Amino acid sequence: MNRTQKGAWYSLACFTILLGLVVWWTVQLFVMKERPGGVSRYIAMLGYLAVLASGWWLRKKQSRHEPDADERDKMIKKKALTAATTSLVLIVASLLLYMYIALGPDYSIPVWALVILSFGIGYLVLAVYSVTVLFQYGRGGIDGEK
Amino acid sequence: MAKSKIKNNIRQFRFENGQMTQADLADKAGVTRQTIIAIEAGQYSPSLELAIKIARAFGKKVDDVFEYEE
Repeated sequence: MNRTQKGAWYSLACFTILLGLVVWWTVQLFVMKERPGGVSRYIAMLGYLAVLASGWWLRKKQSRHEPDADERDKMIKKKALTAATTSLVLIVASLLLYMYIALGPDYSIPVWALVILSFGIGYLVLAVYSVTVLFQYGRGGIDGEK
Repeated sequence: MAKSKIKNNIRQFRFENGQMTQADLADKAGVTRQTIIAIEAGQYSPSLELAIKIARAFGKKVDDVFEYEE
């Protein structure tokens, strides 16, 4: 795996861990009616440590002469950026439309909700970027030594 | 990615050059191994600059390594 692929897997792993925790905490808060803590706190800590520990793996090269990114990597990143930007526009537009219809034009939302929404959208766009990168590399990019 | 119309003899030249691995060729051309894999499989058409670098790694001309299929 080259650095671009590793970066994409890394982002996707961060997104998945975060999504898992958000779902778990939401269930705890609104279904089980208790404050998040206990096991999920340790899972969060382990996930965070795993992400930190994998930092060296991102920097590790396949060979001493391997470039950080070659022409194909740059092309793949450019296409992924286009997909991510398009998804950002679509997500924000859909969200605004949904809030307008569901809540009405004069409704107001608390600032903390806006912050959470912004981070959520950011992570979602990052996930779209990562998936697009990995999709473009295809199966041959992971192992294809012949 | 769609198959490119540019065919290549990279695999053949690698074996003629002492079983050169894709990693060795990638190092010589200054790209990642994944890019060599994609070019060899016809999934990616290299730039002229990269095509020249690959041809030079084999001591050949670009025309010998790559050909355009009508």
